[in-house]
Amino acid sequence: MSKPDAKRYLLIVPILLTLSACNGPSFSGPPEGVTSDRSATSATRWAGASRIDRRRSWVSPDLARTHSTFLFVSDSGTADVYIYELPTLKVVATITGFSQPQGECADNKGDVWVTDTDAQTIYELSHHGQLENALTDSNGFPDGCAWDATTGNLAVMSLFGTGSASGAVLVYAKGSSGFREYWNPKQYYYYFGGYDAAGNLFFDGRDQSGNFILSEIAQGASSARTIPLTGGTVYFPGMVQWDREKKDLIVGDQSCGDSYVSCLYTVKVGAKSGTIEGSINLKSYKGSPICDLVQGVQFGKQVAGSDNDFCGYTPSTTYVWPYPAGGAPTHYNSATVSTPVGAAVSP
Amino acid sequence: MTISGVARPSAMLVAVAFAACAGTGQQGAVPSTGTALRSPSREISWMGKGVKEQDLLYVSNRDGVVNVYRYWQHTLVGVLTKFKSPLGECSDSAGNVYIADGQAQKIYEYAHGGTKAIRTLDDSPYLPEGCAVNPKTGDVAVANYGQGYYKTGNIAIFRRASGKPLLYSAASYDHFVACGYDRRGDLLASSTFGSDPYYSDFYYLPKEGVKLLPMDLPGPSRSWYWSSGVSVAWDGRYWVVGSYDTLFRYTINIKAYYVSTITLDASINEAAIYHPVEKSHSEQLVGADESATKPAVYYWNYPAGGSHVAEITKGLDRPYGVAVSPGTP
Repeated sequence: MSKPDAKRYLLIVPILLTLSACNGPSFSGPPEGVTSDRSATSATRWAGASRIDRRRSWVSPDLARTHSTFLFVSDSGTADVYIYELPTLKVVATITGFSQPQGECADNKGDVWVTDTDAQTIYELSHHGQLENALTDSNGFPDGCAWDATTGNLAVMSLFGTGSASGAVLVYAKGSSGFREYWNPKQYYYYFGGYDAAGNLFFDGRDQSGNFILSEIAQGASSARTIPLTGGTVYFPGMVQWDREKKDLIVGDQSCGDSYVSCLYTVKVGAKSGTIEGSINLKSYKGSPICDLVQGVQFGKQVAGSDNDFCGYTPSTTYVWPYPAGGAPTHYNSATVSTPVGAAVSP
Repeated sequence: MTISGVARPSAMLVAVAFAACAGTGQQGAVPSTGTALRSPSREISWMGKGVKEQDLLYVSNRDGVVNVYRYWQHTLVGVLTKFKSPLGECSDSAGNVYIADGQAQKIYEYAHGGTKAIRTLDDSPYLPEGCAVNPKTGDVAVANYGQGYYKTGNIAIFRRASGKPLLYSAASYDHFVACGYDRRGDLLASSTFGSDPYYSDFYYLPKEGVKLLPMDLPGPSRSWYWSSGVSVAWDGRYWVVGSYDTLFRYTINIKAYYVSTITLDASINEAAIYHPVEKSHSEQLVGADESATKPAVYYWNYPAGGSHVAEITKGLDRPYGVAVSPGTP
């Protein structure tokens, strides 16, 4: 794999900040690859969003009493993880103490793993928001994860490595603090991922030129391969999740149609390639397109996630939409998140 | 409170020095204190009758003896003898008491009111200084100072208080001195390093944790630094970390958050928090002041702190560890 030179590495930090939803005054535009004609409308909002929450965690007594399904949303602006009751989206906990929480995933216990990019750490939170475990990514900056139901292993997508290295997928064996690294030689940035029922891992990212890449590490394989996509174009990596019922892959695009709109695609994965078979458009509670859904999560006949609305249509808002219909949300909460990134459901 | 400049070496350092002077190398030998003739009552383990129902307080002494008191009456009801250097203590919900014997490299378990160890945990080649019992699993965590001042310590966890321990290491310079469990089974441990002044590190092992996480415990002010964090306890709601005559309370989830400070009118090493079964009794904190001139065990109302409400001063030899063992109602 070719290594980027130092000049290239300097460009990575702004990209990281952009992915994590544009930290306050340092924001200089929308995600790479899209034009910036609307960025000025949100400057004030981002300045406020850059405040790190220094308070202690808050947990509602309702959280311990109820057996509800919860949605965990990471917010890199406040450095908090919010726990919502589903489907009402009532906030039942605010977990503090992170540096830059981003992508999330859940395991079969209902624990949610939260990648903290800046802290190079992956935290395991219980269904009730208590720290259960923490793993270290000493080689890079974790931003996404996936849990393998067939082995109990945790895969972590490391956005990029330390010392100008590319990103990687790290697989932590169940109960271990050590990891094994995997790469797709064509991929430089690693974003989000998901396992299918057979233990095959799918993940997205970009090459050094910024082009979208979908990759797979087949169960038992020692390296990753690119899955060429037909039937459409994905411009900026979003969520990756296996739909167990429909047996296809849900892939998010943060820049759907190369614009300030996020959407989801359903992808049928074949032996050598993937075919985009459908797209799902999501609307805000005002009826506008969703500006930036960084990571969503599908559960049953719904999909949830937060719109990091740097477009200025609405405040950044957490939603539940019907799936696969999409369209208008069934529930929303516009009073909590600032610059939301990751989402996971704890049943 | 004055802390800077008061460089107190670890109990293990003193114990090492003491053991070297004492020259006793065999478990079971009567340890010498270099003092004059001792009472026969400190040569052989004994226990008074009728202690099963009593809440008991165990206090480890520099002379190799552990005193056992009725908790509320402060009366000596027994002694456990023939330790090499008894240091930290801990107890489980059944009233079993674990005593870390540094120089023996062992942890002895005694039943509530018992005079003979019912179990011995082999901690060699490390020098155990503190311990804690996981209320969820019965695991015993041991804070190991190391194999000596120049060897790194660790946290050893004996699954269900038996077998060989799992070892959890931290930085190469850390000597662990104390640890505690909360009700979930999360572990907080303190270590010391440096020499005059001494510094402290803290580590956290969450319930399902596979490695010790460095945990920064912020002080009450920005300029605060830990010259020595000795005791770690869980009070049922907060972590309690003691340093000399001051206790700091924290919550921990991802990071540690300072909650409050409790000031005591004496310096203590290990702290034990007494949770009364009867509501007529208040919660208390017990700790031992190991000063050579006025060794004492003090009781404070908790979390009020301030002036102690009771004390034990007789029959002590530079006491270090304390544990409360609840009696059978």
